[in-house]
Amino acid sequence: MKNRFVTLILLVTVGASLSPAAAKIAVVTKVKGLVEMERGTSGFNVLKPGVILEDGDRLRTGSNGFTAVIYIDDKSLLKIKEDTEIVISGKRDVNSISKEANISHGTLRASVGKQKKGEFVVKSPTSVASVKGTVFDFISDPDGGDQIIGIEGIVALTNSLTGATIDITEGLTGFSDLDGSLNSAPTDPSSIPTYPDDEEAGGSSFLKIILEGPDGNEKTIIIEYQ
Amino acid sequence: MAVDRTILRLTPKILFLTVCLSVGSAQVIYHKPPDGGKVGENLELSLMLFTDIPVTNATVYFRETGGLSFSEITMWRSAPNWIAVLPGTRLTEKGLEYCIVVNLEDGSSHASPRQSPFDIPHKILIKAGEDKFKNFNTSAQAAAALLATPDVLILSPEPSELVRPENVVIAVSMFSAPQVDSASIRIELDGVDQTASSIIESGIISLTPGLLTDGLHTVDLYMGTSYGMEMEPLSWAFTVTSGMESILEEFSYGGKMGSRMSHESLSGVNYDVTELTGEGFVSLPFAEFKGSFRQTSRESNYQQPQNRMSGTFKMSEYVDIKFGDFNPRLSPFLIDGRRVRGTGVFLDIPWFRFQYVKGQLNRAVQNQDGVDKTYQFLTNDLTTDSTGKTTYTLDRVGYTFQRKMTAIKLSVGPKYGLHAGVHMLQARDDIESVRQVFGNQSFTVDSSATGLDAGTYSYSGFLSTVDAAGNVVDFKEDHWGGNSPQDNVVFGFDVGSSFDDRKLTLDFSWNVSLFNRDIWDGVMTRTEMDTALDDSLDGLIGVQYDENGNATAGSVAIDTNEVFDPIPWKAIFIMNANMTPLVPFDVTTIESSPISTIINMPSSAFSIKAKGHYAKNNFIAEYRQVGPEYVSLGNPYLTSNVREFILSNRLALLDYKMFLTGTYKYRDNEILKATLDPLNTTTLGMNMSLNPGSNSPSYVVNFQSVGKYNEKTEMDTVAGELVDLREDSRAVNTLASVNIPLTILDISHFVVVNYNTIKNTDNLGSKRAGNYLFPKTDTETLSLNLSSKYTIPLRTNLSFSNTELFLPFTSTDGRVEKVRYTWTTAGLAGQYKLMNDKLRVSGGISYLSSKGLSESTIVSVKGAADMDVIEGMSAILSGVLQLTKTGDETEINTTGIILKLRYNF
Repeated sequence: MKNRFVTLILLVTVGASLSPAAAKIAVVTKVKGLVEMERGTSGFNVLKPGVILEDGDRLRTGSNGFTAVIYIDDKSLLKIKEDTEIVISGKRDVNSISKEANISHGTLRASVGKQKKGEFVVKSPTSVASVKGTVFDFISDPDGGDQIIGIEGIVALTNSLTGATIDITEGLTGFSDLDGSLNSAPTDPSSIPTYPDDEEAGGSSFLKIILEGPDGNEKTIIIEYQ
Repeated sequence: MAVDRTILRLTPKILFLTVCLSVGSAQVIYHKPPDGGKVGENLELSLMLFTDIPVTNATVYFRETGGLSFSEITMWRSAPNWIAVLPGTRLTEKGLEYCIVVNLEDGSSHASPRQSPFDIPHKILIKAGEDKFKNFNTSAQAAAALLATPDVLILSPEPSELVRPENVVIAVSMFSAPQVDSASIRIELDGVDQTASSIIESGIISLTPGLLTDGLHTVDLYMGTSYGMEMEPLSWAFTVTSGMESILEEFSYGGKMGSRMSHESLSGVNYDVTELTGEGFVSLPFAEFKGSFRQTSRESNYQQPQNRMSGTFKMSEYVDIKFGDFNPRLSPFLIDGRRVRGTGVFLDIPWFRFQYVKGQLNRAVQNQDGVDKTYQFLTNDLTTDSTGKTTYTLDRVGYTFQRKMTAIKLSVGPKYGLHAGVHMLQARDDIESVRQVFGNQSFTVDSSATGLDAGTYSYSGFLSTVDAAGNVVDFKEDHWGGNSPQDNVVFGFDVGSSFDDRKLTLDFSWNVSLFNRDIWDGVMTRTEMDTALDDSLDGLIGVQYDENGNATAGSVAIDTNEVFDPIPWKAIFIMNANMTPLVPFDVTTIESSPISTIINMPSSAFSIKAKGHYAKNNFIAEYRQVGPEYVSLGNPYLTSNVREFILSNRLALLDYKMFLTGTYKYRDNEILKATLDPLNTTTLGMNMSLNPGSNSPSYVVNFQSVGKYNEKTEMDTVAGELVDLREDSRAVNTLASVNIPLTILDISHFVVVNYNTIKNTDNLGSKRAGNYLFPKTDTETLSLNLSSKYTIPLRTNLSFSNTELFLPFTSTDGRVEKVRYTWTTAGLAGQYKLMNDKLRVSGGISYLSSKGLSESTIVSVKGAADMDVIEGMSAILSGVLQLTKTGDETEINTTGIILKLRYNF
């Protein structure tokens, strides 16, 4: 009897511990302003840098919020601007993660690495953007439609209502509307979103080194770097 | 921490402890091994003593499970216990083996474990650090294919990236490197281990280090495979900038200071300790300096230094310069973690690695405190000449020579390709470091000394007394009564490579030592060689002459001009008749079996090791041999006269959630064919560990069977009596451990249950005499620990353990019996945070009951308050009270109060 009891406890504890958990797929590398995350039905909690995201985690940014999320298999990067809500999804297998981002509204930039399997898909209620490897901005407005701004490479943009697809390349902006219309036009440079970390990530910065001579005169060496 | 002991001093100690402590005697030590440890976390060992006899020293000898040699750490008194803290950096997942030796002032030695502490030490399980459990979706094929170059992705920050101080997230992905064992991962930021602060799960490492200072920061990532094989570390740097305006802002510095003042009373004896500790760093983008110190009132001229002072200067990842106190590890056969006070230079560049260490292993200690601890009167060396003048002889004792050491290791070739290297260590005692006359210390003269009154004399008083009586004093100028000065050279080479995409590695290391146990007489000259075997200074060694001056038959007659002249080599090694080996190999077998003879040189040590990992198996096959005369003063705890063959395999199952390990080890001391009754030890081990996840229960079952057989078939005759020295025994050590995390009513609990038994069997029991004492102690231990974390800032720890020892002893009527000792302990401790965590109060009560031939009960109460006084500064006040009940008598035998101050800047 005693042995059976011990066996039962072992089975229960081992069995419980082997139950599957959601796959970890990405890491939050930057957070500015108010950014929140919901996992399952636990409600929204403040998101902190360094959090490891699981398949199905929902993120939303406040009016001053910004966050950056990087996928762990190929470093595909999502920069999520203010007033955006998005679900980060991904199915892990041995070699890659099949990635999908479902944006309800807001603005993001996707820098997608070359995908080993399938495509990186960004979905909104209106459109689907599928890429193998590129950089683009996705501006989703549930009331007005979506804009996809090609920065690098090619984005296959599909209107969900009609199923029509066009390719958006660098210098083009695709418009996908609620009424099913889908077209593209040269990008207005002023419409390209800027992100809070652009300067530190890619903009020029200056390093000033102030040297003081024996006579008290100061000389400054300015080093510009990327 | 290190104390002055050489292998020659240690060997009899080991033998003594191995043999004598096995015999039943009063139980003096209570030590319960910890339930386990974690890599990277310091492990505290504590010991309680049931004796009023003062302790001379208490030392922990520890090593990685299966290691070649022990390192040592001195325990210190922390009422009511003696404690030692093993550094977390020395703990590995292979486990920990250790024993504790306590020497008392009455000359007795006691150890834990009681029997064969160095042969069968305590063994505890060491786990990975926090939250480190792998859950990769992987396959053996993927693991094997990707093992050679771990495809680790740096997610953030990119190498050389500029980041704002508030945006630093260090993230690394091992998604494409499933062979990496999460439990093996160690991540350092600017040289500081941050593993415990990191999230490591599902092949992802995430570290948010907080606000970093402007400047260059370096991340070092160390990892190994699931099979224990080290992988190439990953290192990269990034720059934190908040908008620099001056290069001066690239400087950063920091540090902390701490002080400790304690007053403790132990069995009526007061101990006051004051300690000041500190560490700090200064960092530049291209270089960093770190320093630390400890000044303690435990520092004493009578022992090796307790104070510590160390510094490290690091330039990029290639140059590392250390000075002060540090613990270099060059090779287990050379120096392997022993403290050195001096300088170390370590270069690690592709295809070239260089290690250089120069310093002292022991500082000079002139004498010991007390009578007869500096000078000794030699009663038997008293002579009187024909005029009636008496010569009295004084000897010098109580000293330790300064021992200087230089070690070099040079290796070329890629780390994971074919690489080879040479190494050398030279250590020598400095005779001049100890003065013949040191102070006016006292010594005793007994009544048998003719012409002197028995009593205690000071040095000057003795000289005056002897001189006044018209006698003389002969104070020995050398060959003193204490330890003789020694000299040692070790040199060797190593070669290794990996094959099959690094799934298989082979390493070979060979070493030989020259050891001189007494260099008082210095180097032997050719003239001394001439007269070493005969009395004639004739330029020939070993020639005897008859009364007519003719060489007698059978003389060897070696021309001294043809023999090796040791004098030019005396700066490296002093050769004389006290050195080993005198002849490096067996001259009788060198011609018939040259390879075997060279390999089995008594002063050589070598190992050949193959490690491989295929199809989720990680196997090791190793043969190692340390000759009976092999000595390295850099590693005095290397067991000599041993040859071992080890086979082990670790199999990963259930997606690396379960590991099965099997080990076979054969060991004997039959290196020399002349060895009589060699002792053979066969060890079989099985281990199963199941660790489904960080929040799941984990299980460990460990089984070890140690068989000993000394091939002796007949009983020996000692002093006319038959003595049974035959050995054919088996010790079976079984350990089961369950760790269960639970959450009940939002309270997190962690339960640890351990059960351990050691059973000994005498296979010759039926053939022995009825009064034979089989000197092995059986033990059985059950322990339970419950750690709880509440929703309020309260943490508690409840523990219970029961240990039973069955000690054999011979009763007064000659019967062999077993007495049962039972140790029962229980304890409750808690910590509560107040005032927004600024004040932390803690307390606890513990109970220990010992029952056996004598009974005693000990109750200890502890309390502490830890408060942040100002930003960065905290003060800790703690106290302890211990009550002891022996028979009907209850007394307060220990009280203590400790004040600590800490300041971080």
